[in-house]
Amino acid sequence: MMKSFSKILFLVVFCAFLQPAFVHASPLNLELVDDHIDITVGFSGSKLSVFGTKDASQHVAIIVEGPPKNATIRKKSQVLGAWMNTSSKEFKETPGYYDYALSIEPSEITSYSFLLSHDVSPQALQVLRLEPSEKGKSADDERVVKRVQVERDKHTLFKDAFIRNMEALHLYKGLPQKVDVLSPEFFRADFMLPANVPTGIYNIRAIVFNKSGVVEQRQTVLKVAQVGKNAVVYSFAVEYSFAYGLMCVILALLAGWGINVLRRNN
Amino acid sequence: MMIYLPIAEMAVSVDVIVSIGLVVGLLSGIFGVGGGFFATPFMIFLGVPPAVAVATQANNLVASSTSGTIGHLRRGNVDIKMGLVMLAGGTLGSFIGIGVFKLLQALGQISFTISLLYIVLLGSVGSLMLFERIFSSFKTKRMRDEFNAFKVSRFAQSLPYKMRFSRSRLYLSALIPGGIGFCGGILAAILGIGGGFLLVPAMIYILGMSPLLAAGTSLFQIMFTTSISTVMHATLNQSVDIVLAAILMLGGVIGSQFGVFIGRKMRPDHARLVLAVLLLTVSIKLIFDLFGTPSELFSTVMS
Repeated sequence: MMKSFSKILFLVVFCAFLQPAFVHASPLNLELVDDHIDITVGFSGSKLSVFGTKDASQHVAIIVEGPPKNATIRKKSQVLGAWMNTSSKEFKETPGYYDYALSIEPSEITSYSFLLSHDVSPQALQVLRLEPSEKGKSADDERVVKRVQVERDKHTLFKDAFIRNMEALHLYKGLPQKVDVLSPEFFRADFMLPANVPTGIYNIRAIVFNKSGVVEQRQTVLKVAQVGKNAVVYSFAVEYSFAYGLMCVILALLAGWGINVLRRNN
Repeated sequence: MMIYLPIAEMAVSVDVIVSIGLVVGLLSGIFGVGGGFFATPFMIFLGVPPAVAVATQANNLVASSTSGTIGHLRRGNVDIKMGLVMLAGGTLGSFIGIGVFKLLQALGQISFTISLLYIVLLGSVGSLMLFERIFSSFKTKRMRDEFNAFKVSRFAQSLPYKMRFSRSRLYLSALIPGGIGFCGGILAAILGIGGGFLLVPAMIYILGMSPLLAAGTSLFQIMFTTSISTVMHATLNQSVDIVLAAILMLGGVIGSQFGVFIGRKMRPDHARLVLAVLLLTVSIKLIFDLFGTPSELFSTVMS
């Protein structure tokens, strides 16, 4: 993996020196070392390496977003002493995985507030925003104001909890990774995908920016899928679910019979 | 060593799963129970989605109940007619149970329901066994008769569809064993258990069957209800993980060999006492989990 990466990097560097005109024509380039991650029987997480070129004077942010899913967040409260789910909130089409990397220090992000409208950091995700539900109504009405306030508080509570839950599962990263600036033009970032990553198509975006705003954007896709024996089992279980169920039962019947034979022989 | 489960879509440690299988095998070898009450909550604790844990455990119970049934059949401890009547109720029960499972899952109450049912069931069966053990030393006979009061009650006598079960030497309404099977089927589908720890006492105390015949007959019908449950979970929810099941079975095969060995060295009433304490311990642990303030009040499900 490291070897192939260095080879590719060398090629990119080589090409970049060979064709300075090309680099200047399109300063932002984004490449993945591997455009797919294969989940095999032994899969226990994987490194995703992203690299590219940019204008030397600009900063870069890289965002990795997993396939969209609907998230249901539930809150427990005490009912007769026992803790049970009593209220819930749904966020539709949220990324199933989220990680990001910055070439600036994480603390500096406050001076680039426009990044917040580009999904940089989980807190800034557009899909987690509160939809204004009381549109068109008079904001002077005290009851409406109060209701909006209550709804906003609930939203914030559930949104924070959602990000916290996802961070605990290592599926969202609250703090950014570091973009390694190898030379003023070349950058590289590594993301560690955990073993429980959702399968599907991932979106990887690079945003080049400076003090005044976003300069350029590029995006590419990554495919995360089960391969080999795992993929065979998965597709069989989904496509021929009845036959698969019978197969599981037959396996169990044989195992049960086997246990019995062993027991008698002892 | 980690292994990626194709249906649960997560990596688990093979060693941990084999260990769960070992413990379940030990339990079944010593006490003749399926061990679902241990395996299912533990798998959920490891992060296996509840639907996959329950469905896969149902599949595993097919293996342990088959091996138990073969043994009991050989020794003539199975009332096949009684088993089939219970199975009729059990099949209906598992259909309803799977529906209830899906409904509770959509409502977000599946984990709560599973915990609560376990607390009530393990707690009551555990205490019943414990007290019976304590009292049995001086009033075995009277205890039995008291519990058999149901069988001779006017209500039980008035039920229709009377049937003769010659192997058990019983003449009673088919609705009673059918009803017991029905309740067992619902619980099996919701909890991913065979329900032997409930069926056997019910058959002894409600139907008045002998303990050995009750054990053999319940295993016979559990073999079928868990098979039906597995196929239904696989078809409706695609939640049976054959890789997880195979690793659990591997542990189970080894564990049950040791279990049988230990079981032979143990006095039967001591074994029952240990099982009673075990059931109560799990129940108390679940009570603490359910009533203690959780460290995180929020949970997220992605779909």
